[in-house]
Amino acid sequence: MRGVSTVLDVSVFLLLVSVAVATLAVPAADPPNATADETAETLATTTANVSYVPVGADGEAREPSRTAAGTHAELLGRGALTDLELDGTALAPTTGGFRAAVGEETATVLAWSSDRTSVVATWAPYPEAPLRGRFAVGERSPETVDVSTATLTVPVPVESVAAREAAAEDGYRGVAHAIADSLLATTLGPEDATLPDPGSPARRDWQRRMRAYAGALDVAEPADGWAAGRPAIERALVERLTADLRDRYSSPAAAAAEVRAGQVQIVVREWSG
Amino acid sequence: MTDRARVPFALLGVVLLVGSGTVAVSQHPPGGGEPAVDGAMDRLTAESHSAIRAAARDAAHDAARRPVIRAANTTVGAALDETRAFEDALRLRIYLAARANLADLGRQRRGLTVTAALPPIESERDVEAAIERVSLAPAGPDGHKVRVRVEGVSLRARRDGRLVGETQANPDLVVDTPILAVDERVDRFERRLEATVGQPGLATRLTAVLYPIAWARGYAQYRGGAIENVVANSHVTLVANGAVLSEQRAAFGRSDPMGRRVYATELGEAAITGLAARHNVSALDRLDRLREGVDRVQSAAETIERFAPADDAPSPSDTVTVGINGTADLGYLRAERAINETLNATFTPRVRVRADVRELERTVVDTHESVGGTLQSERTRLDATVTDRSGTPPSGADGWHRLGGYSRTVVVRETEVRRWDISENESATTTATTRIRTAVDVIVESDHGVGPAPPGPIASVHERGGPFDGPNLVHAEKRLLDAALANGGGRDGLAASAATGRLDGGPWSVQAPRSERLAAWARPDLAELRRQVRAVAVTVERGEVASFRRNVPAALAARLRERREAFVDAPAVYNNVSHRARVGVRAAYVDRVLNHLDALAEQNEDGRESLDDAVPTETGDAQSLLADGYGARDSLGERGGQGDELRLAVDTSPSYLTVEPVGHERVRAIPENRTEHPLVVRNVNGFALPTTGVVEAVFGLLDGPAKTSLRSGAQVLNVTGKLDLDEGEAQARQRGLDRQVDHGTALARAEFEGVLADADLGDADERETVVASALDQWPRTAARATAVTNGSAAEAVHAAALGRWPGALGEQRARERLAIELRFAARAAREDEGAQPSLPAVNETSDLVRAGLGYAAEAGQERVEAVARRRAARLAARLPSGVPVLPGPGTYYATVNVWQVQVRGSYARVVIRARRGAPDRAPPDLAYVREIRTVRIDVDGDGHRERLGQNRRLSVRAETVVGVAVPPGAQGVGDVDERDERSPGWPEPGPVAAGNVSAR
Repeated sequence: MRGVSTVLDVSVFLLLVSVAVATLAVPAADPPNATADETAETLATTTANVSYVPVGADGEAREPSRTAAGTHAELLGRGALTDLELDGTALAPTTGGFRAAVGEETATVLAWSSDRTSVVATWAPYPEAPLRGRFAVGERSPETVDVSTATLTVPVPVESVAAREAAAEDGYRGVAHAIADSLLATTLGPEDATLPDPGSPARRDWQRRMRAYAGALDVAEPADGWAAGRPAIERALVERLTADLRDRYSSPAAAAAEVRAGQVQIVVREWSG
Repeated sequence: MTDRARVPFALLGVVLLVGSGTVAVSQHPPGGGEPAVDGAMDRLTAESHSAIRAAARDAAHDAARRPVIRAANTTVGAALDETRAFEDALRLRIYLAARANLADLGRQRRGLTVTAALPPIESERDVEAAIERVSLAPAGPDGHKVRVRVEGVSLRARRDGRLVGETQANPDLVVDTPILAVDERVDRFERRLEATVGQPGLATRLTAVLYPIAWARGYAQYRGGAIENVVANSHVTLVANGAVLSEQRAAFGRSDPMGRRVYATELGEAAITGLAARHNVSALDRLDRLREGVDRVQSAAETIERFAPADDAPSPSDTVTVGINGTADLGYLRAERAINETLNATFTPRVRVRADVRELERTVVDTHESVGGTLQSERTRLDATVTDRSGTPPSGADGWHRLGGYSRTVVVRETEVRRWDISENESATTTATTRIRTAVDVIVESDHGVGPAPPGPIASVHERGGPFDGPNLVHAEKRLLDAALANGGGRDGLAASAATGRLDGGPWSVQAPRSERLAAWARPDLAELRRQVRAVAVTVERGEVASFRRNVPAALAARLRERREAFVDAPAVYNNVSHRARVGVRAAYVDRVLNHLDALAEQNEDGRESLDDAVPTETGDAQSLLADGYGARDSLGERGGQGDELRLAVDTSPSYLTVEPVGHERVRAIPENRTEHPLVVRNVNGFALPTTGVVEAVFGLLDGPAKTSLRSGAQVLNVTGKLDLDEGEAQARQRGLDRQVDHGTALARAEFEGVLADADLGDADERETVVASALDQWPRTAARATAVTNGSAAEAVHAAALGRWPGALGEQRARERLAIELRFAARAAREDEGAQPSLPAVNETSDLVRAGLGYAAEAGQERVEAVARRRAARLAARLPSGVPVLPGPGTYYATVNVWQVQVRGSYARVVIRARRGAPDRAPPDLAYVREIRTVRIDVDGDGHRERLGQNRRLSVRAETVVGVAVPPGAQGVGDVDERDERSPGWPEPGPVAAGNVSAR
């Protein structure tokens, strides 16, 4: 009896000691998000200066080179805004050169990390909007491995929308109008600005953007040229967004609460292996 | 075994487990809250930096597009410092953008809420504080970046409404946007467009390019080319545009490409037509065609290369050598005529008397008695009694030498007589007498160092010696003494005068006898010296003369003064008085020429001063504008090339500043239904018309303004003679002028005959025949008068006289002298008032000419055929103009004319682009825009945009004066058509007085 109890006692002891060892050993591992956080902070605080040549879908240069500067996060955010699509149709036809340059620049920063990284910048006026921009750098994150994640918010030059007031004033349409206004002011130029001179590269670029919008929104070219086409495009865009908001949200106020036109979300994922 | 209680292993295990658990737990921060807060705050800080950078970049973009040049007169506008309104507006924009961006960063995750914020702008009054929270400074090696510091960023973390983390931060970041550098460049451009002559900028550049054109055309006109306006607004427009393009390069590193192409084409066209086109009517059409890209023109460089003045006109920096020439002849003529007086001056020693008076004794003889009443008058009577006395009067000094001396004792009786009024009918006289005994020493001295020769000892004076029996001043001593005594009333008289304080000691000049042959002996010196003085010359840049920077007569005078000693050639010791007299003749001649040059120098100076009246300028007086402009014309300063780093592009509207009005359909920056003059130009010819009397009045060649010169009259008459004038008044006027001019030539005829008479040639009839035969080769009045004024008449008479009297004129000196005499006779005739036609006669007739040629003010609409025009221009260009800067005898050395040029322009819009920015924006570039616009932004988020300030246009404003000098000739240089040429729209460029909108 005594022998049995001794064996039992020792067994229980060993069991308890191994549990204690496990207790000490397991929490000593790194917190899972530390590396992604570091990368995110690096992207938000280090600056870069990229030189790019605006190229079209055909890869042909449209203009002499130009430079853009900012933190890596800013450049990534603006990269997202240069790859807009509406219901799957591209809206910014000549911005590939810029994204390639930013991608390369960001890749050099990511190369310092021992882990594998994916960075994805997304612009959407509200979650799941049919109008969105995306810019991904790095590898595709695997689904089977544990990843550390960090999220950054960076501003883009789309004026922040006073969505709540707009909703109170004009419902879904008010919200849609505010978003369209803000976006077009950036991508097509301020409404009160004079158009670039006919024949200039800037004018041709503007023309291509107009055509892209018109194509995505099924707007026909006005009889007196694209110079007069903007109101039609804006109307069509407002219609499209109004319909989508109405489908998605229970009330204009609920829709307004989700509007984030002036910023881009950047998600950094890191994993090893 | 023992039943002793023992601690089971299991219990030890429990203890270990609990202990390990405790260790494990104590090794990690308790609870999940704090590490999450720190992490979130770190992330927020990082994000806030991106937010502020993005804000600065966006704000720069907006501030460039809508710059505030003048703060508005509003609450918000008052928050901007007037001296750096642009920068303050940028700071405000950065603050507003940063605040909005930071607000977007707020989010909520797993119960933790983080927010980033800047203090709000609740009302317009908070604007100033907001601006103060943002500071800006140029950064980076070239200042092409901006250091932005934002104060008062607060970052907070809350859990369930409870504050769990808070940081106040003042981020200080370097943002890569060239906004401050671009603003500085635009500022520099603006300053350069409005700089005055002498400063680097448009006015200086304009001067530099106008000089060669004005000279090329001035010389073409002078040589008889069909040039109406030497400086015309069409050239000014062209070169002003070229200069503005260069200024763009200087400020931004490059210029508007469209402007360059229009300019190149215009320049090419101007080169083909010899810059003679009156208006560049085709500039606008070309601008249109170029804009559509239809018209391919050759490169600017290629065109400019083709633009070389076809004429071999001298450049303003060419030098020219000017001798004393005619002025030496004039001096010679006068010196020769006055040679005897000059010689006499040396033979006219002076004598003077000095006295030394010592009072020996003073005795009061009687005094005034007292009579009462009031003193009515008082006088003093002096009586002197002279007695001989022996003594030794002191020797003379200071170059005077003693002729004689004597001593006297003089007793002076001084009687003072007073008249008193005692009552109305009663008066009385009292006297007081004093007796004064004085010793007087009298010395008589003479000075023979007189006359024009430099002072110096003479070897023999009072004894015979030298040429022609050497009279020297042999008898002078006695004559001088006699003269002194005679003047002073004898020896006693002189002593008495000295004692009573009434001595008139001279000096008196006394003419001594000299040989009559002295003149012939000295004369050859003069002829030789004339040749030497004639050759004295200075070398000047033509432009220096034209801009009145060099006064040629003054320079010649200075050069002659340097050489005066050598020319006079005075010995250390004169051999005798005759020798000294001969040197004196040389000295007198050189001084005479110097005096004449000094007078000319003063006239030149007066001419320079008359500029200010001739062309009233705005940016300083005309004299300094002319001088500074010429001086600065080569110092154009830096060329383009800077700003490569920035790679700025310049886009101006319009690309080419035309003087014709333009509207929206051509320049889209101009509002619809409005037209404006992008450029207005004015050029004023300083001395355009011959007959205004400016020329003569300036130089005092005339006494009154009512007369003009024979030369002007002849030229006007010459031109009218080539026109088919209408019957009646026109012809009557012409005949009137003809009579007056003919009278002038008749006077010259008489003067010529007088010269021949002086030279003892033939009798009166013969002389008349000779002169008539010489002048008859010019049967027409105008031609004859011109011959009188330009010296060919004198030459003709000279030739005729040589032919008629070869024997009497056998000697070369006689021939030379006759030539000079005749030349000056012609000049005397011209200067005779009777020979000068009246100003109205010349003016009216020349108006007639201008009217006949289609130059009258109202003749603008008339379309004269091209051929007729060219002929007319050639004729009209012969009307005299310009200012003679050195009116030497017989001819003018050069004529100067000046043009005041003013340009004012206004760009409807100027855009300066830096190729910076991401392509999410359209267009991506940082574009700095200058135009008329009110700048508004919503500062307090109330949806209403407050007026912040005003953007303004870039304007052009330059003024300069250029001068052209041409050599002696018939008509000088000057504008024929309009003296004051103004382009349409002068003086305000830009929007045609729409009322409330300023052109700037």
